[in-house]
Amino acid sequence: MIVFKLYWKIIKKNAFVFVVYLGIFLLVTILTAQSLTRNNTKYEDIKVRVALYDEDNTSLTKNIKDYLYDYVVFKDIDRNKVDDAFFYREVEVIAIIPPGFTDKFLNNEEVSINIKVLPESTKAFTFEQIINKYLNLVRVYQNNNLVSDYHSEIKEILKQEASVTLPETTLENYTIVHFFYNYVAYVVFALISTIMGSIMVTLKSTDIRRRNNIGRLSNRKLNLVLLLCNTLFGVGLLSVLILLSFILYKDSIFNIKTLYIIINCLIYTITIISLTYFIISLFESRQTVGAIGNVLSLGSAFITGVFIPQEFMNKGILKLAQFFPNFWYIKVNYYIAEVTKFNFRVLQPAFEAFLVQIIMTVVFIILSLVISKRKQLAEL
Amino acid sequence: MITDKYFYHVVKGWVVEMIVKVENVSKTYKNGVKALQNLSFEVREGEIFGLLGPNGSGKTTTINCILALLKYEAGNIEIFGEQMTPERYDIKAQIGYVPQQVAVFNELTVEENIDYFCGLYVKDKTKRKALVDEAIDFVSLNDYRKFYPKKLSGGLLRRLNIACGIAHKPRLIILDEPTVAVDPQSRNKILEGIMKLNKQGATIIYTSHYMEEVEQICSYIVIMDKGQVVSHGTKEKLKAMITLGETIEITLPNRNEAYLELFRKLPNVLDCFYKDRILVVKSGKGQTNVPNVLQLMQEHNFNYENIYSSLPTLNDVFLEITGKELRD
Repeated sequence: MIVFKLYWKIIKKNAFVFVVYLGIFLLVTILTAQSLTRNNTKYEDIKVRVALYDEDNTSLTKNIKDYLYDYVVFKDIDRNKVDDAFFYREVEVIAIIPPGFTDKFLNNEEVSINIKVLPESTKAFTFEQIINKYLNLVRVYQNNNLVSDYHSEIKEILKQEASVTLPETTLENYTIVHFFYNYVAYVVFALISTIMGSIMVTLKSTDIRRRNNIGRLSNRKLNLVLLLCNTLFGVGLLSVLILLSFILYKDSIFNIKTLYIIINCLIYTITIISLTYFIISLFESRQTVGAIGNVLSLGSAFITGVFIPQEFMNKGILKLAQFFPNFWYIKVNYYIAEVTKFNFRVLQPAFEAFLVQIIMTVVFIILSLVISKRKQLAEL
Repeated sequence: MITDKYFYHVVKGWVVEMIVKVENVSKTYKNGVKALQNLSFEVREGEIFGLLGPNGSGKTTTINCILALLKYEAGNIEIFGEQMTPERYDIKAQIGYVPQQVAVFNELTVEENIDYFCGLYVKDKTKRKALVDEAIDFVSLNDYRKFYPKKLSGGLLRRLNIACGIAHKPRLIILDEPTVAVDPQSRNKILEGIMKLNKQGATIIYTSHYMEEVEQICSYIVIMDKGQVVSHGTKEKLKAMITLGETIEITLPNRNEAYLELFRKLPNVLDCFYKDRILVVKSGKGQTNVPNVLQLMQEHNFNYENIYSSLPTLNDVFLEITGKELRD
């Protein structure tokens, strides 16, 4: 009982760290949730601001300009002042149709419009795409002598747009819950490795351990109490986070997906507890354990898809990420967010990821026990 | 095996209980270092038993073996007449241990730390509260009850370390170099406290490499070197064992090698040498040599700044037995 009380007293003394992590977590999730709801519910056309200089001045180039009126906003800027306008973002694209453009085009030679865009802007790509669509069709019409007034027809054809239907709002809202639980991976890892790590290092330091051993407390009893405390801490932390998600997303959280995500959370938390045990068995200094916990929790969050979706990540990095429990946790989260049917066959990939996390837990526990035993024997 | 202690206690008129019995204990570490070699001694009830030896002589290893924190390949250790093993929690409950390193929780206050370690032995909350108060009072940490260890000075930390080890009122208290890196004022407080604990009935095992401390408080002393007992007895008996009777130190304005021969010719002089500007004259047992030294200096018109005479110390005993100083 005395060790049990000690554990929670030390947790209480670390309450500040706990509150800071939870505060940042809440802030990030709320802000992200807001941005997700704001941006993802509708599509909007954005017209690029273009300064176009026609140095060829033919009927073809005039048609191009006429066609472009529907897609861009032309800015009439003196040629000498266009660089300043570009610098101050008055225009986003400067396009120059060079002399001889039409002749080359009619001779089926390769043509290009000189385009200047802001660095790393996607506008150039969009602008080029718009022009290419038009020129490709002009070429088709000309080569096949289809109609004489091809310009109006091409304009009509290109005006036809595909209709975009947004998915149902519940699924959309679930993206927020999904993000919340992805971020939980980092918070759970960071808090467990920091707080649990600090308590365990203190209790396992040679001098304190010896003092405990000389007391009425056996090693076995001490380890059992610590195991109980660590499990309670992990489950308690998880309960707080789950409760938060229920409060924040009460409209969209009560469904079967959440159940699977919570099971995933629980397995992940146990894996992180065992990983922390493993780190503690390797290192004895509180600073080292804290530093390793921080590096691993933050580093793995970056490479396993906590902050950046796994589909945007390099395959090599993802291969490395597979050694971290977060990778499998996040994988399950993504999978659960996507599926609409819940049966064994559909959920098999999720169950496999659960199994990988459970195997990792067993491996970490065995390694911790072996290392601790070896250290204990070396001390004797 | 030390046997004369038994007679020592009988001579005093009563037979006391044996608290600790270490019998032919040998311990070799995995790296091959022989830490203890056939070590034997006994600690009797009511003693302040001093384990004196230089750093690395095996004092802490001995303590760890007694407390069953370390395994040993040969020998036997009994506490309160029973075999000591890691599982003997009934024996452990009667022992207080003050480790060499301060072992407390930085997250707990002074009061909470003492309460935790006392709680390892005493479950009753009310009883524990009284014991904690008494321990705080004993080490004079009343003004620091709510302080965290990081806010305490080295001396206060050592006192907290002691309070954590003694709060449950153990029958046997083992203190492993409790005054290392402590200021003189705190050191005196700690030593006074140990003597007070002993008067209250606790048997003390005290390890140190500070001979002055051991001389000041210990009723029986074992001198260790290289994992073996090199000598043992009361401080008087240990000093009586050696040929040295007196050391006279004369501080001179200048070092003059010619003086050495003159002093060596004095009666009963064992050795004579310089320590910087101090001329050291070591004499054998018997009458003091101070008058002879003074007379010689007067006859030869020697100038001197001061003259100081001292009786043998435990360092002298160690030096004579092992050929090296305790602090080597």
